[in-house]
Amino acid sequence: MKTIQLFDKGVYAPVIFLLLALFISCEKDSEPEKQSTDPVEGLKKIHEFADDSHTVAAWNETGEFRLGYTKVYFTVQDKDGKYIDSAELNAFPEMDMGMMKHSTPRSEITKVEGKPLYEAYYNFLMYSGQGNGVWYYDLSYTVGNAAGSFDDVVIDVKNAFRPDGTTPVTIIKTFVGTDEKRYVVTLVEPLHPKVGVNDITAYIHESKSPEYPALEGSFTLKLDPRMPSMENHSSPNNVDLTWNAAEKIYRGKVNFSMTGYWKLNLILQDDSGNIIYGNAITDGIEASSLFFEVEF
Amino acid sequence: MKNKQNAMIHKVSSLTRMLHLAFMLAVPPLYAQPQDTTKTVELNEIIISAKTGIHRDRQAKPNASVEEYLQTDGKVGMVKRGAYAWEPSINNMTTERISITIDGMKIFHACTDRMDPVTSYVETVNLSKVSLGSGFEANPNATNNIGGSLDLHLNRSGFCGDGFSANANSGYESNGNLWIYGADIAYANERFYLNSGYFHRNSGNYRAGGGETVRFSQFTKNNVFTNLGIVLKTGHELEGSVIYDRAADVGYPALAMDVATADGLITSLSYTRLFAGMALTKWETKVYYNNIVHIMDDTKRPPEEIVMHMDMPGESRTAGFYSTLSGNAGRHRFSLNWDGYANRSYAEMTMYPADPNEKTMFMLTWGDIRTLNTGLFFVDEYQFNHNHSLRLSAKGSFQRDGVNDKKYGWNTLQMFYPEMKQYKNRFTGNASARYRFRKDSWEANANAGYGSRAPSGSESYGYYLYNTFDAYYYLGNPNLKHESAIETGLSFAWKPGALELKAEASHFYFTGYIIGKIDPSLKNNGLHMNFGEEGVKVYQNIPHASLLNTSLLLKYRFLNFYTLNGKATYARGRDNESASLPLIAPFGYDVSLRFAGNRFVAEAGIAGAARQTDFNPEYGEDETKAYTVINLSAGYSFRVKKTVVNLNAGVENLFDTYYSTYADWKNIPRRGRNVFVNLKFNY
Repeated sequence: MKTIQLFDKGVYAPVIFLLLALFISCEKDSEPEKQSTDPVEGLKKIHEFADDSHTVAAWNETGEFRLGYTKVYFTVQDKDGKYIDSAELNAFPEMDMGMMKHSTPRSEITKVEGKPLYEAYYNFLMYSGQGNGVWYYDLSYTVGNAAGSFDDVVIDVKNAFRPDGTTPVTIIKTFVGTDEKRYVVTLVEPLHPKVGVNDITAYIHESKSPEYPALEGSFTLKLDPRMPSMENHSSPNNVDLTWNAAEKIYRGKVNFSMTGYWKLNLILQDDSGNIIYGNAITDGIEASSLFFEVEF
Repeated sequence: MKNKQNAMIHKVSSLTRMLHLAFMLAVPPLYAQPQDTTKTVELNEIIISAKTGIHRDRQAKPNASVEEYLQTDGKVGMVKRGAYAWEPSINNMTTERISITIDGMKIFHACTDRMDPVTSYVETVNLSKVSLGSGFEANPNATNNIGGSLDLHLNRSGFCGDGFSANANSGYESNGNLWIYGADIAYANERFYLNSGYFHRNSGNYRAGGGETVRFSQFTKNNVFTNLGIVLKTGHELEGSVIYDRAADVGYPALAMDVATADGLITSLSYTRLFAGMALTKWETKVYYNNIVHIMDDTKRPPEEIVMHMDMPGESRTAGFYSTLSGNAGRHRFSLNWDGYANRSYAEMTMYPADPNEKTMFMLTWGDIRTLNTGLFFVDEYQFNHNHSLRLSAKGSFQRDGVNDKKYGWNTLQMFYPEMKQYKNRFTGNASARYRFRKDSWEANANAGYGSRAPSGSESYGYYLYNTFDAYYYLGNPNLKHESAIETGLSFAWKPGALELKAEASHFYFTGYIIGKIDPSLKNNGLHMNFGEEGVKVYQNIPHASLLNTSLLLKYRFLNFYTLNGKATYARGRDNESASLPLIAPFGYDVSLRFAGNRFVAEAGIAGAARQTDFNPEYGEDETKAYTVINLSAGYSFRVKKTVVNLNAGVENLFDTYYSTYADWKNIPRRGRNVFVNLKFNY
């Protein structure tokens, strides 16, 4: 009988199919990246200014300035819309609080290798409107013999919130250390944390208003991530932040065992191990005076 | 209520009866084989038969749960976390060290906290009997077993000329207000059978001895099944079965959470070729698929007892096949089996912080663990002559396992194990030999075996699995090596006429025994989740461990109708520092006197255990007190025209003793006095 023959021989086919279907994962490799000619692909425009000869625009991934670390890209175009890759740019942000003015830790604007694009970061200490302050900057450029400046441009620095959209999040911290110096520590990564192992990077600046010199090397940020809602649950094998000379940033590893709200407790130490700011977590002390917050 | 080494009197299942007959005709056995000849492997059997007619050996409590049947065997224990879903142990070894199959099908629990041993996804009405393999002498489809194996045989009508039959049964138990209803129908002839049924159990909270109510011990269970068989042509049989089992609102008094639903869908299709007049007698090939979904629930607990609300669903899916060839050649009885399965185990944990604006905390406790396993098994039993026989068996398996989910599975484990690979390949295997000597009323057995098992999914890849017993979180260890063991055993039986005496001892010497140990490097790192629990344990291979199981059985038939059964067991487990292994039974005993007439049966029993002195606080154990309970039961059968009526009634724990055993999770008390009534109609 034919049916029986079929079963004698073909009985393994559905089995093998089942096993394969169950076991083989359906994940595909991501498509190869397309080579783009548009220097601002994937970036959102924050604002742009034009004079008779050139247009200068500021861009970043979110299209806005925000409290704490904000990466900004600039482009300079001529009247034909051609991107200029030999410009020099300057921008000096200042907050006018009526009684006083202050700036904020920042980098110079430098050229992005291989693209007609310029980059800088601003670690905004305050958001616009905080203490009735107003942020603005003077943005100037030089292209060959041509030069221009857009002065007193008001910039809108948004406050940073936790995912609920209303609770402010701590991602930048100013304090006076045990050495009586004033410091600013700014969290750079992880902005989009994931469970498991994450890179963590930060800047340390000294506050000598109006200047905020970056402190390059000779400090350590000891790291102890905790979940206050999980009775201060921690994670294993975190790596303290130390100076990475190649990238000019303090770099370490932070591990998240689950999603949720994490407090990244830090202790700032100098190269002799002296505590400049922050404290260890012990039985009675649940957090350091120096911490950042992430929630995902 | 006893293991049936030599039971042929039982109405086991019509299928096996029929096959038995076929073989009797086809291959006259060399020596009288007292049992089911379709099986080469001579394993102990626990008869689970809801189909009890008028019969001397019928069960005193036919509507007992599968677990209640299983624990009547001296080698089987039950770890209890409540009134439902007990976790079986064989030779004092639980889930990771034993293999449980349903008709040869692999099936794996879906709860990370072991709230759903696979035996909880079947009902008494689904089953006809259970083959119990001890140690490496296991069922052909057993994998990664050291302690033994259970194969639950489905209750198929079989190809016999019974025509139409129907059963209806109901039961009530006073303690917990447990109601049982069931009905099944069957139609069978020589070329076709179909049987189908429904079973329901529903219980409220039970009371411990003394009257205290054990909160969150309720449960509801529904089970439907259908078995179908067709003889395509003489010697060619096609059989299929589907079981759907759903437990709902199951309380676990020993745990912090209950279960909203536990669903099991178990399906199989098999093709059997029976050969007549050949060395090969049977070739069975089966494909199967099962899916288990287990949803934990803490919303029924009082809010003040909930530290944090959590959702913890789990799922386990298994697809597989096996193909078994059995035969007799000369004095050999042999069986060759190839099996394979693929399992995926996935479990989530979502924790809700007190502040509702805060993001939920999410993790995968089983990060989509995949296991692919295939193995070859061979067993041969050689009968030298009337007195001597030798049984040899061996199995070799290949296993590939790993964590398929990168985002929440592999990534999180890599925090602990930066070098961890996503998948691992392993080879495991075992070999065993048994020599049997029989002369006059004496029988002696000596057996030895060696084998290894791969670590379980939880042991390799579990992620923050909370164990309420010792209050530690358990972390899997992908670097675990195989656990291996040398098994040796001896037994002597003396059966002069009406008396039967049997002494048995088995010993396991483990190397690389896998157990959770405190990792000091994690302890002071705030790694625990701090809900009153101790910290984190990591599964590790300890250098060695040993486990000794001993038992003494007595059976005495007298005055035609009476049987005295006695059983005493003792076990001792030690780790490499001579400390006790967890969940090892202390000295226990069980004595019963049974009267069995054709229509009337009655039984009085006394069961108990000595004080547990060998316990280990490291694993959350404390001393368990000695206890003794007394049980009484009686049954009466009669016929009303074509219908057989069985009426059974009994009292368990007659004196309402408050007690708990070594295997009761967090010392939750057992049931106090319980009066049960079972009524069964068999048409």
